[in-house]
Amino acid sequence: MQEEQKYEQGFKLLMQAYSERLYWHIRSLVNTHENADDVLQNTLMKVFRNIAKFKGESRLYTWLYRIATNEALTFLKKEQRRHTEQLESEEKNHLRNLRAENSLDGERIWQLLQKAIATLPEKQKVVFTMRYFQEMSYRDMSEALGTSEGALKASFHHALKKVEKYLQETEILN
Amino acid sequence: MKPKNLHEELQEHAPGLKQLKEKKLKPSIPEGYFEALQKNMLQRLSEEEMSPTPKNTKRISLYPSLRMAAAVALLLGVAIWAYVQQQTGQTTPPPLAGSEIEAYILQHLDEFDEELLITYALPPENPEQAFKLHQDDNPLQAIPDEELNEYLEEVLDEIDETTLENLL
Repeated sequence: MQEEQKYEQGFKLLMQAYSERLYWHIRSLVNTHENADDVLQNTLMKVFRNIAKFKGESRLYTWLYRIATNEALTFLKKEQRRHTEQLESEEKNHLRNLRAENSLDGERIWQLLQKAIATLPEKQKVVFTMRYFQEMSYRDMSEALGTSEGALKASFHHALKKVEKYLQETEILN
Repeated sequence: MKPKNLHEELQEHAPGLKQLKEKKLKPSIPEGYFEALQKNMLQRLSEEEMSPTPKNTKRISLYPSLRMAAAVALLLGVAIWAYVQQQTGQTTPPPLAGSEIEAYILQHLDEFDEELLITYALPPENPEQAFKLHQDDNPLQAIPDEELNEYLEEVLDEIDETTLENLL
């Protein structure tokens, strides 16, 4: 009983320290708040269930990011199957409306970037969001994803060029 | 060479994205979301009455390939024993079907002593003192071919080539 309380207390501290960072990481992968909320809750449950197995081989921060990334990607795969066709038909109208606006605020830019990121392969998607939005170092990303820093750098640069090109083609940039 | 920071990377590879980055990019989230999330999570935990570490459920965990090797070795051991008994004319109970032996071993694998399993799984140091296997009196003949083939196919599906080579 006392041990359970101790775990809960520790979990509460962990949530206070990391839930917001994990939320933004997940949100940049799954786009909407509702999706991010679902994935974050699943992530936190998984963290709680497996915290005893955390052996300190990596830092807690990168271990959490690894779980969050896996949860988000699993979610995306399920969603992708359901919504691919619907998204394609909505996308053109959405972009047309966005371009019609005189100025782009943060919310709109976010949505546009999400559209561009959605075109990236899975690995580049994760690398792009970790580096561009979370501003994680390559060292931390390497620890979280189990990929070499050189490969991550190359992946990020490819992703940057693709996203930039996508935004130019949709006339958001220029 | 000093590693480039994010802004330098953006400037070099995607100046348009650098401009976007300088704007406020975060979308809105419901007010008080993180406080509510914490409450929800703690409630979920207490509802599920979860325990992060399973208690008193430690099991001997053998590597899958070792478990499989031990199962094969035990199966052969039992078959050889049955054959030797039969050849020496001793009264023995009716022989068990190969599938029954296999099923028993696989179901009760965790109940066998780990060292004993490993001993059986490893090749004998002195083959002459171990069971005498001759090509002419192959103990596998005691098992019907169909059952043996069926079993081997199942094992081969689950076993990688290196482990198989080691076993043989």
